[in-house]
Amino acid sequence: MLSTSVNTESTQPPPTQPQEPGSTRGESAAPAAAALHPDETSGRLELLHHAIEHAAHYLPAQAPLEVFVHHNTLHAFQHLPFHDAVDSACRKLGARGYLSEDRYRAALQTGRITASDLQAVLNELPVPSAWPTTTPELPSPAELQQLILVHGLPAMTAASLKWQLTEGLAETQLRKDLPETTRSRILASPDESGKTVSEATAVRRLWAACQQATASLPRTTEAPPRHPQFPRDLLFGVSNEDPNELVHPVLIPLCAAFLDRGQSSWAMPDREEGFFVAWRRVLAAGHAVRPAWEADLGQRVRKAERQHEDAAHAVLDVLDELGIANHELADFVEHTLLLLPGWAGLFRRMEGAPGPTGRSHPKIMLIDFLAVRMWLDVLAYRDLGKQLGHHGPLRELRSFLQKQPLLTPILPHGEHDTAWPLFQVAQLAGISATSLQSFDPTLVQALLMLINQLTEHTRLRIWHNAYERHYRDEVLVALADNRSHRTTLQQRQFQVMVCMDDREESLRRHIEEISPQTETFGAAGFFGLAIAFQGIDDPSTFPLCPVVLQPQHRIIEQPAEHELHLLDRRRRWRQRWGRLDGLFTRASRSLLWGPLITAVSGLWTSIPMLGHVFAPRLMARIRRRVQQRLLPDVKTSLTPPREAEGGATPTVATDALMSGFSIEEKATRVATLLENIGLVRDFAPLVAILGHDSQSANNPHFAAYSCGACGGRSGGPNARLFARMANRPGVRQRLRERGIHIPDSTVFVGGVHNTCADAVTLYDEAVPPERLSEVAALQQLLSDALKRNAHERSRRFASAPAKMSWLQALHHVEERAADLSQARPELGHATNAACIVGRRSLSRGVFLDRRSFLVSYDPTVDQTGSILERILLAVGPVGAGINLEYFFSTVDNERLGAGTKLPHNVTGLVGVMNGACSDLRTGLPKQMIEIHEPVRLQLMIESRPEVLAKIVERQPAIAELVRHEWLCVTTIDPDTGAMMAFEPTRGFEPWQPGPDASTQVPVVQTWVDWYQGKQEFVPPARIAPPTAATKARS
Amino acid sequence: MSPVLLTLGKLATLAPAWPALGVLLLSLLVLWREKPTERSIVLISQAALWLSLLSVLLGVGAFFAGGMVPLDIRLGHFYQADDYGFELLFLLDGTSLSVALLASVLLLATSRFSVHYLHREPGFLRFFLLMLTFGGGMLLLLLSGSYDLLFAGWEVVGLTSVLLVSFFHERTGPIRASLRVLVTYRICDIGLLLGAVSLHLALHTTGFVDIHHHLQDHAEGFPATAIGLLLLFAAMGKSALFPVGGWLPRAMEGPTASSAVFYGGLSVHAGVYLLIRSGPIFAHSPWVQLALVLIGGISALMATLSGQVSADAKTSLVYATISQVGLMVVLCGLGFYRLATLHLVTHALLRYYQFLRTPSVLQDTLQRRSALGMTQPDEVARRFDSLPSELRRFIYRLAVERFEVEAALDSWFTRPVLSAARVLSNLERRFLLRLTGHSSEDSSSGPDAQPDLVSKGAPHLPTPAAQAKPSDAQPGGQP
Repeated sequence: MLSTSVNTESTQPPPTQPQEPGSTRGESAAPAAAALHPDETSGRLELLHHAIEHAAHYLPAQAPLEVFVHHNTLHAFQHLPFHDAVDSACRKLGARGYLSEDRYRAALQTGRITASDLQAVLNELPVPSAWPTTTPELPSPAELQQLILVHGLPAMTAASLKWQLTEGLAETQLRKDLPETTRSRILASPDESGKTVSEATAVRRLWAACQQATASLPRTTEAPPRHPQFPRDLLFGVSNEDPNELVHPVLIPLCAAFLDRGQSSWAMPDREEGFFVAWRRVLAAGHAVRPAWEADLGQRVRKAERQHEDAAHAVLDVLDELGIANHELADFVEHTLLLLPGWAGLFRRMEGAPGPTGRSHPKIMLIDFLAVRMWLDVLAYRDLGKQLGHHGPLRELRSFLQKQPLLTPILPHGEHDTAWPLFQVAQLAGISATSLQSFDPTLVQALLMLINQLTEHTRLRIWHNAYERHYRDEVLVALADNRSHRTTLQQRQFQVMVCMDDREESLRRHIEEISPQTETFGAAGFFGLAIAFQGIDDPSTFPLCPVVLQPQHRIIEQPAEHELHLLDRRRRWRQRWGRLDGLFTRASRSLLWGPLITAVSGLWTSIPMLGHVFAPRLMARIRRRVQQRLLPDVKTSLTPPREAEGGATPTVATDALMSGFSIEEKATRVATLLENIGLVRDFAPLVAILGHDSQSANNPHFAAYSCGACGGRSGGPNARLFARMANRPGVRQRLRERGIHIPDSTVFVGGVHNTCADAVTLYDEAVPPERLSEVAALQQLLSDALKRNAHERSRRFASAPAKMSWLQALHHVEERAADLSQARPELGHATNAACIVGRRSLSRGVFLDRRSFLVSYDPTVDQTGSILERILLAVGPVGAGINLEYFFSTVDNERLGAGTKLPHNVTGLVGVMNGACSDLRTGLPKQMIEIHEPVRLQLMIESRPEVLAKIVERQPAIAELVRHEWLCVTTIDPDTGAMMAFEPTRGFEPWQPGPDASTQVPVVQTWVDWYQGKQEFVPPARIAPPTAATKARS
Repeated sequence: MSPVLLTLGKLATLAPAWPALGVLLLSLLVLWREKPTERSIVLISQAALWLSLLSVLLGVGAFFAGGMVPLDIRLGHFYQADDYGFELLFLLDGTSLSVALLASVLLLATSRFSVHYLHREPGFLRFFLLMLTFGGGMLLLLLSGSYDLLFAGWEVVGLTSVLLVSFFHERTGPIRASLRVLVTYRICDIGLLLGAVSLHLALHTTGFVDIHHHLQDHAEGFPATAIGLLLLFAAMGKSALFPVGGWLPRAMEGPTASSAVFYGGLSVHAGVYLLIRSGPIFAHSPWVQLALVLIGGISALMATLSGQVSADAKTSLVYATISQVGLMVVLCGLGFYRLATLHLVTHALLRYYQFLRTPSVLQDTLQRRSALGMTQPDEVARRFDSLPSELRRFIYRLAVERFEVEAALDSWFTRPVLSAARVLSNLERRFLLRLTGHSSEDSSSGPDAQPDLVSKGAPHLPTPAAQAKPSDAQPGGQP
């Protein structure tokens, strides 16, 4: 049942004669179409599948919340250069891609952007080709562009121009934001008779001159805005009634029920058959009272059920019914799926991988969702169409609606986009009516072209580049300055390896401040160990590695032999608690148990409730105390190595995971990481490896705060395992063969850092007893550093007192971690902006304000660049993923982020909605990004440009990010310190600070001096070399 | 009653006044300086709510000191004409004091919770203003000694509830939901208003104590069934009972904290409180008692089933709440008012806490599963497995479609009423036109084309005037 329009895409000839449209989309329609044009149906089926595949790219790719992992929100556009991608995404998704112009302009006011930053970016813009060589009275194009950017050129519609001219003051007064010299230039200009005139007259004459100058110009060539094409937009445009308002309340609860992973206690029947079948079986069961618009839904689903229609054919039927031709099919499918991107995206994401869904394993297919959605859409379209007076077949609805006037008509071009901008620019440039009249028409045209070139997108792009440039220059200046103040470590007390995470930057700084003899390193927080891990409390293994990797090795935490009884007790109590909790949750919602449970427990719940609300930290302590009493700590160890075999024939476990690592594998992994971070000599007696995790209460987005390199989970097990591996004599032996000599006196110890409560746990079970005192000293050092870390973090929390001691700060962050009411347990990666890959000496002693990923890399042991390649392969995508998710969630929190947390409602244990019925909210909630400065990752690499260029050539994944500017690369020469910035068209260019950038980096005695009392971002500073006093103390 | 106790009781009646004073102070603060700091807003709100709690505690003290005799406090008349007056009555008895104590504690907890939760929210001030207003209204509702005063509190509670559902008023969803709440409340509040008026007509008083005494002495001729049904109708709206409870699941649009205090804690129980207070009237009408049992029972049953299939945390909790509220209504119908009060208080505490913790549901579930060594959800509704599959689907469909109560209400009630209204208005217009001598042709686009606001299924159409008007009204936004 195709429309008569000739399709261009299908290889099939168009139907010889138009099909008779069935009066009601009757019994014969679908089978008839199939019978008459089997080839055509299959061709259309193929088109449909292609369309779905294509459209699915644009859906959010967020996984269920428990495995939240950061990724580029605009991953579908990643093959495009950054700014082009933002432009297309804005069009397609209707989202913003930058901050608002007002925000950037405010940044200019506060000095966050300087005039020279803006100038530098503008200098890179091409000069309008038709620009006359001699324009005595005009500022240069760059100056004009700067004027327009700084003062703004508010968009004007025809209607508002009319209003402005009849009611407003625009025609009688100059802009308020003009400097006095400009004003006087315009006002001083005499009229024809040589008299000076009043402001009103001057302005009116200028406006008239602008009108006159532009009157004869051809209209701008810009394509007019598109008319709505599909029924939903047409209906909305014509009547302001949204068919989605009818469809979504019916559709969303069923989507949630179908994808549910255990929220409801009664799962949807027939989930194994797919959403479309399950949905129609449920709907077809028994008789129902339906709202008027759904009146014949029952008949339709029963018929489909009788005919065993599958989702694809159901979609094709609807497409026919709506008269969607082949050439618009792809657009229509995309348009339809993007009406509820969150839910559609989750269907896509869970396709074939439903996860823990209980006894029934739903067959999740995006096409099923599309079928259900379109069936409901058709009913809504028909109902609204009827109310607008369309009673014919649905395929004619569009032509009917296209004849109706739109409520907000699309207006043609006019003075509002020619004379008006010229009028504004003339004022900004101080051009009076007289001089404008003397302009050559080509000059006016060139001027207008310049204005037209500065579209909103271009203006924002310029602003944004200036905004980023300022930050980059600030950091590079500080790094360059730090180069001349490097100190070399004579003797090493501890070495601490942490995750590259920006949140660990401050911890490293504080450790180094307290103990100048301690060296710190950063590496991706899974420490090169992709494992499937099962702790003693876990029911199964889960992967601890970046999501792109598939773990091959299973690591199980095993209790010590003599403590099995403790484990038993622990398990028994945990089970008791679990059963009680489950019973309580269920029974409090059941009809008959409910009264009993409430009567028994109602009054008692007021104790934890009031406790949690009024004294969260106390409650957390009590809870911990009770847990310690009931749940004994069990000494454990990790899966022993596969010592027996030589690594050639790994014993394959039942689930295709190898149990543990062989000595050879261990040695390789340890060596790789040590080489990566450049720790191949000068080992300290004690080397700590700290993974990280986060703790928060009442927070569905908890996984977003944990270690991204560990799939949104804790990096503790990886750190612990790494330390154990590095301690094994066999591994040390093999490392020596590879040229890494770890002294026998060196001990590795693993640990985990809780980034929210700023606590650290060291796993010292394998440390020789005589060395425990050193571990205790390290623990002391870390505790001190963590207090200071908490103190530094607290400067950004409004609820923390402005002045407090280190201990008070620690208590404050502990409270945040346990507080039910705390929507911001910590600020996550909200500060991230840069990534420094290089030796710590590059950045040691520089205050980077927790804004930089710090990846340790020693270029002196990597002549070929192969280590750097390895590092960039891991760090590039992970860092850019985190950075870009924060970026886009910040610039458009409603469309690309999850909006405010307050009305969030956890749905199906997979996502959050606003209230009881909305699209699934993907991306980051407002509370995570409020303070974020959207800046692309400024990747600063201590290497030579040619090394990097070769890596980019070899690795397409990195090339895409670098060449398309999804991250901005600067190299720092390891020997000379010369800095080269990458620019896609011109390649690497020597970097120099802007003319008015301060090259003086402030020097401070202690970090506290520098950040205390400041709430906003703090620029880099350098710490003074440790004085004799601090040296003595350490 | 000793004068000391009486004074204490009078002090206790200040409980609703403190939040009102807080609202006044905050309003003055807004007038004085445009944007008060979060700190000052919180300070005022918490001070007001602590004072409320203190007042209620004074009342509790007086109640116990007086040997648990209800304190009937009469503060004079707030309106008097000729020989008829409306008295300012407060009644401090076990019921009112226990629920008022609950209310003031929950309000205080909410205000504390919201300090961090709503930090940096553009509607911070609005939230605290509304919560204080609600607190005042709720305490007035609870401590009042007559239907007149209770009605005043009742309306304040309803209005703030509507405004908090539409807290995020930049989106359309919350606005639609709050309109639904508003319409339901408005219609059902007629019951309370008519009930109070009827009591004035029948007994010349609406004081609970007076009614009680009056009915004890001579109940004959008292229209207990009519008044009872009116009061029940009012309670049905506020407590989201069958068949008008469709608004409650939609009302989850506000911040979690307000959902907790309104729909887990206080507002949703106000209907039950009204029923408990009306016990003496119901006692004289078996029909009303039967209606209570039926409506409560049906609500409870439907809500339980709907709750079992709900796949989101807040909706499933909302249905759990309705099911227990339904049971409280059954208890009232059976005459167990003490039990109903106990259930009310304990249930409100439990539900409030559960609502506050709804964002934790994912963490809680994962922890529970890990403690039990499970990797899969435990489906408890296995009992339905034994049913034939068609029946199972049928019950599932009823549950998931909320028993189609709304669709039925819409087709059998809302639409007929609206069409009748339209017919009547047409008739009136024709009559008027004939009266004024105009022909009826030239105004065919009269009330017929009026928007059909209430009915969900029939979105309103733009009037021809709106279509013809271009969008001249766009804001200028220019210097």
